[in-house]
Amino acid sequence: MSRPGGRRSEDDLRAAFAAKATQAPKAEDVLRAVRRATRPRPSKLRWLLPAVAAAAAAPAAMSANNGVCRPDQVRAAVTVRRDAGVERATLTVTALADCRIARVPRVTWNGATVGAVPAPDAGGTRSGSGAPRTATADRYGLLAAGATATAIIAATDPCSARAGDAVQVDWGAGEVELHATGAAPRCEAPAQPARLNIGPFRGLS
Amino acid sequence: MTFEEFAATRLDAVLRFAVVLTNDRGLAEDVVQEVLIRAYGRWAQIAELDYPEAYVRRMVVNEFLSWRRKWARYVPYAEVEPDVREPDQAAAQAERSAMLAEVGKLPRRQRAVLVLRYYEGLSDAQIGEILGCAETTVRGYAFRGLAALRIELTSSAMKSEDPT
Repeated sequence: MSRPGGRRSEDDLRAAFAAKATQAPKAEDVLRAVRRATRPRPSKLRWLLPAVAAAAAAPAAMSANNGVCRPDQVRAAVTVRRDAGVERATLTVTALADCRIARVPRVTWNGATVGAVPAPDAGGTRSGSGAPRTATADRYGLLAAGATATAIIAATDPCSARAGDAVQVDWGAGEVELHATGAAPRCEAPAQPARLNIGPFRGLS
Repeated sequence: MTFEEFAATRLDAVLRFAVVLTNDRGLAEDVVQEVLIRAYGRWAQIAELDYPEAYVRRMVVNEFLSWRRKWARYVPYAEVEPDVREPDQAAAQAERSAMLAEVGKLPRRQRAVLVLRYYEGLSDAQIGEILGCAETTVRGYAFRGLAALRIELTSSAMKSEDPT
């Protein structure tokens, strides 16, 4: 209790502290928060593991199909232009990931087989495009992520290739259907059966 | 002693100490919670000490003294005690509340010394060990704190103590 003149005793201070101590929070409330904070949390690895597993599986998947580019791993297009009265088309393949494509793809143009000019360092016949028919490793080239490979499709006759034509391309992963685009002048002559030849891809390593 | 055993038997006392030290129930809860989370992580070492509870109390003091950086996100509020007093105790209760309010305004080291001495009953040497300062420094803190609270000393040693 305070003394006259406003002075207090040490016992007053002890009593005040003892009274204050009765306001302590409950241990269980604090413990609950501590347990919540120290509870083992789901590891962030939990979210990482599928990605790691997928990354680990990727090489296996690549080897399973010889690392050939899946259709979803590339952007492919065929553009047509007229050059000296004869159409030339360009097949462009851009990889989104490192993968392999046949150096000479198999192509059909409006259902007609496009002849293949074999790659200089690869054997084969000229009887038609069809890289998968020979499965030797050098039949495929590596297309790095972001890199673009182009192959020229040359026509022997005018009006053999036009914008809008359906083009099936197989670089080793099955046929992918594309539609030729381009600002080729309108062909006045009647459409000819496709007599086309495709050269090897450039830009492969 | 496991962490759970410590919590079951000693945590209430630690919380009472913390609320006296901080003069604030919410802050005491926060401080003890922080301390326990850290202690839990290295309880194996703490349990090997002779007095784990003393170590935890020391952690509480240090946490309280270093709490300054956390004040920015701490919103002070007025603590309203439940009015359960008898009419004849009203004056004593009011005086006690006034004294605690003044204790709350003391610098934290002074406050810690007073709590350790008058609530925990520790010697100045023990307090100096906890705060990491000399015994004379502890007496200096105590002297100034008591003077600010206008507390009349009954201890002859303290009466003769004048750190200035």
